[in-house]
Amino acid sequence: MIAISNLQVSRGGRSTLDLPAWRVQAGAMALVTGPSGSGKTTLLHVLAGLLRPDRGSVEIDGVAIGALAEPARDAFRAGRIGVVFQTQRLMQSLTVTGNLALALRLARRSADRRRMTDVLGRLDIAHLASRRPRSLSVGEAQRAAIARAIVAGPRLLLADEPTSALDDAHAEAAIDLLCAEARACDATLVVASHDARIFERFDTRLSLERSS
Amino acid sequence: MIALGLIAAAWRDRPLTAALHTLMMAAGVAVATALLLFSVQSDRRLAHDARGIDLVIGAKGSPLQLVMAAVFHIDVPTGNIALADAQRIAADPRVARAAAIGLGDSVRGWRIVGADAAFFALHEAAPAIGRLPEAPMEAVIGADAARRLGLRPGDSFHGAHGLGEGGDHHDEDYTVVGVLAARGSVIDRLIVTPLESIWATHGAPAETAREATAVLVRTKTPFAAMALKQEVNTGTTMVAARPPEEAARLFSLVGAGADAMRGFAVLLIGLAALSVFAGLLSLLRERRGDIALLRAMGATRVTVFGALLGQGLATAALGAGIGIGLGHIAIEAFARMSSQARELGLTGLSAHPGEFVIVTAALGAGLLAALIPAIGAYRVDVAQTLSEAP
Ligand SMILES: Nc1ncnc2c1ncn2[C@@H]1O[C@H](COP(=O)(O)OP(=O)(O)OP(=O)(O)O)[C@@H](O)[C@H]1O
Ligand SMILES: [Mg+2]
Repeated sequence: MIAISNLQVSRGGRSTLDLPAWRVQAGAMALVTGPSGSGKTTLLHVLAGLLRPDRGSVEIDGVAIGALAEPARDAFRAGRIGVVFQTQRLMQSLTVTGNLALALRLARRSADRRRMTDVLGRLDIAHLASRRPRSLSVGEAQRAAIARAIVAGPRLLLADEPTSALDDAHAEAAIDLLCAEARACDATLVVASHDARIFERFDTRLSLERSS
Repeated sequence: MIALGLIAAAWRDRPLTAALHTLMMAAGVAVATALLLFSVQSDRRLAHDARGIDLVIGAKGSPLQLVMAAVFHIDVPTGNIALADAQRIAADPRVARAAAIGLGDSVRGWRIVGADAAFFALHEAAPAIGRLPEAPMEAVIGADAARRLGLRPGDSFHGAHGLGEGGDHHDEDYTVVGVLAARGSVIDRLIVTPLESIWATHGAPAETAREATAVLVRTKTPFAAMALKQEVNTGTTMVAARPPEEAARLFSLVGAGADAMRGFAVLLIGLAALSVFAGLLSLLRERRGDIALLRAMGATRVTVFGALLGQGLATAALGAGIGIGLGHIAIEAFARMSSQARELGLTGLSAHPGEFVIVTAALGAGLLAALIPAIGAYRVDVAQTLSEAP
């Protein structure tokens, strides 16, 4: 469950996000839309505990993450949150399996080979297990990034523009995957996108405006 | 440990760079180690070999050469002196003990020394098996020489003229009458026979024409050694030299080269550290996204800091380990290939506490090289980096 109230974030001295109130039920599929520069990525970073808001409170599963000290926030993120980022999706110096194993170890779970093959198989990329990220196609890298984000069984799955680089069929498939995986690990899903093709797939929607 | 896994991954990611940095560090440490072993071991050997000998008197020539030949048995002698002169010095009231020696022959590279009983007293040597020689053409063998030559009491051998391996053979047979107990000094590597044997194998000169190569002297006081040296050098045609002075002079000669080598070792380690620094800095620049993602996956600042610092430290540690091994191998190979190195008592099989200092210096250099890149990794702005275009 996500509960936001009176959230204000500024970057470089300018206010970039102003969100009076937003709630997402546990297990819901939420979509954040808005034009470029409206603060979608900023909101996801705040939810992931990577950015500290200037004002307001952000609770995830009842934990006020803004109040946590940095190491505690790191640990919270490792154990409970999976993120698929807009550009940087995988560790370049590790293989696909290496990325998954690292995510598991950071979440203090054993790097269980069966679990990793299982997740890769479900995303149909088992054959790419020992490949380096730079040798993957955009769609393959995206699926590998989803695998990396969900392998440790997060309670909250965040995805930033997961369909921006994909054609219709692949965009559809990526959203299907995210929804299915979130449901499989019983996680809340928040997707940030300005891709109109995927709007009707979400029950909860938040539309951000560009702040002046 | 997550940081350890990341270090291993970084090495697997760029094996060539990692190998290059490690080898550079290894080269610096190897040179430093070989130099340390060489100077410590040869220093100890020279100090040990000259123990109990305050003065050497021999024919006109370089005092350094005289000491190297008559005390350390490395160089060739400067010439001979009359036995009568040697005996006159031995009779001086300031002399506690004196041994006239005759050099010039050898057995397969191991030197034969003609000397009387005073020589054993001077070197505090006693037979482990058998007895000391009493008649001409009897010989007692030093512990190392006996082992390497495979000689035992009752065996006989031919002496060869000259001090190198394979000179002209003399016809006379020596008989081994004993093997000396190991002293850990030069006498372990000598074959000792009465002076008469040397005269006999070199044409048996008349009583008045008898010669010796040098006289080894222990004086009653250190002051007496200085005075006697002065008298011999100014009042006779002979040369007197004090082994510690000559050893010090030798080291000042070798020292300049050693200083250059030491500078070279420091330079190599410094360059290795610099290349580690440059490598980690470029890693930080090119893999900034990886570091940000790592943090986003839940790694703490301390973990990413430790991963980079650990990379510098691990490179230095691996390089230092290989370097210490290479240094020992180099010294051991040198000792096996050169008889001079063997005379200096060099061995790669023993370690020295100074190696600890070298390893610490290498680790310090690696740590220092990694510090700035590690601080850079600690400070990476995760949200900013992750929203940048790739
Ligand atoms: N480090 C920063 N310093 C200053 N301003 C920043 C910084 N990061 C983001 N901003 C600004 O914050 C605003 C919101 O950025 P954000 O990346 O959240 O937008 P977005 O909705 O994700 O846009 P897009 O759809 O293009 O990804 C933008 O105006 C951007 O210029
Ligand atoms: Mg964005």
